Formats: sequence, structure tokens, C-alpha cells
Amino acid sequence: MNFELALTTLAGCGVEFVVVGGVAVAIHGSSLMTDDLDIVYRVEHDNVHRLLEALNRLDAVVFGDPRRLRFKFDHLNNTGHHLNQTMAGRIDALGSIGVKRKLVFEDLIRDTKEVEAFGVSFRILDLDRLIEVKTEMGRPRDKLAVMELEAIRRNLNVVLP
Amino acid sequence: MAQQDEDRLTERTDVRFGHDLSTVQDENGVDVLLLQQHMRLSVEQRLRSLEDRFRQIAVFRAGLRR
Repeated sequence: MNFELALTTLAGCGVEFVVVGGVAVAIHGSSLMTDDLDIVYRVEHDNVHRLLEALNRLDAVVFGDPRRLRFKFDHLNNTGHHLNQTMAGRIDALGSIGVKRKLVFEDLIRDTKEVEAFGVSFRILDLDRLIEVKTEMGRPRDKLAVMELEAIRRNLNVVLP
Repeated sequence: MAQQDEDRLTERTDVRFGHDLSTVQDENGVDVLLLQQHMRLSVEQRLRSLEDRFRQIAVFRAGLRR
């Protein structure tokens, strides 16, 4: 995964998004591995166009599709999950997350914090909301992440640089 | 973390003497010392570290296939 290419392209195209999943967990300080970038993007006409532009610049194709098809505007303009293989690695563009109920960008944005890397700023889910989301997901890897995130919250008095 | 705890971690985990797991891991087995090291990195360094670890795994896997 080339995080610099992925994040600078998304930010450079002006995409409104929140980093969730394993990369957000890692940014909060976890040692767990992840090989994809999960983002929840705002499902809104202009923003979906900006996302499409970013994915095109990254030469994105549908993950796991041998025909190398690409997502189009209508595919992305909904709250589904869109898994992409790009020149920067795998980027999962999610219109929503959540098990009990769908959480869209607008539901999450209040519980995010802005961070900077590679000369761009972007938003990640904050520690409390990330623990909440991961707890709800409940898969074994989510449980591991929750244990590390709770240790970070409990012991390390997290201050992002 | 209280300064006293931090001092204890540093002292007890001095590489010259090896790790005392009971002071490094919490009750869930989470390596608190490792997390603490990660917390000292910038966001960019944390992401680079993730990339580096994946590259190492890819090299390792390639070695296994040979």
C-alpha cells in the first residue's frame, strides 16, 4: 500500500472522506497490520464526482474482477461498499458502515479528528467512535483492535502529533 | 501514563536485561511498550511503518515460494 499516493490523491481531488478501519486504528497507534485503506465518503453528487476523479487518477479497477471493470458514478452514488484495486493499493470506498444501522459520512463527521501526513490533512474516526464501531463489527480482528485501542485510551493518554 | 509507571517500564524493559512481560503487557496481552513506541511516531511515520512491515512480509512470502 502506498498511503502517500492514496491520501494525497484523494485530498488533492477535494474528496470529503473519513478514514476508518485498520488504517485509522494504526494512526491512533495500534501495532496491528492492515493492507487496505477504508474510507467513508460523503454520498453527494459533487463529492462522488471528485471521488471518481481520484479513483481514475489512481487507475482503480473493481477489486477481484478479472475483467478490470471500473466503478462509474451511478455505482458510487449510493451507500454501498466499493472495493477498488488501485496503483496505490486497495482502497475500499464505503458509502456507509455499521452492523445495526447504516452510518453515513454525516453520522460520523462529528466524531472525527483532523490529522496531517504527506503534506495533506484528512480526517480519521476519533478513538472513542472507532472503539464503538469496531466493537459493533465484532470480528476476531476487530476484537484485537478494540483491545489495543482501549489500552491506548487507558494507558497512553493519546495525543496525536 | 504516570511518570512512575513509565520509568518502571523503561527500567524493566531495558534491552540489556530482556523484557519482563508482566510489566509490558496489559491484562489482555496487549504489548503496551510497543504501543507506546508507536505513539511517539508522527502520523506519517506510523503509515510508513505499516508500509515497511508489509514490504517485509512480501519479501518473506516470496522467499517461502522459492
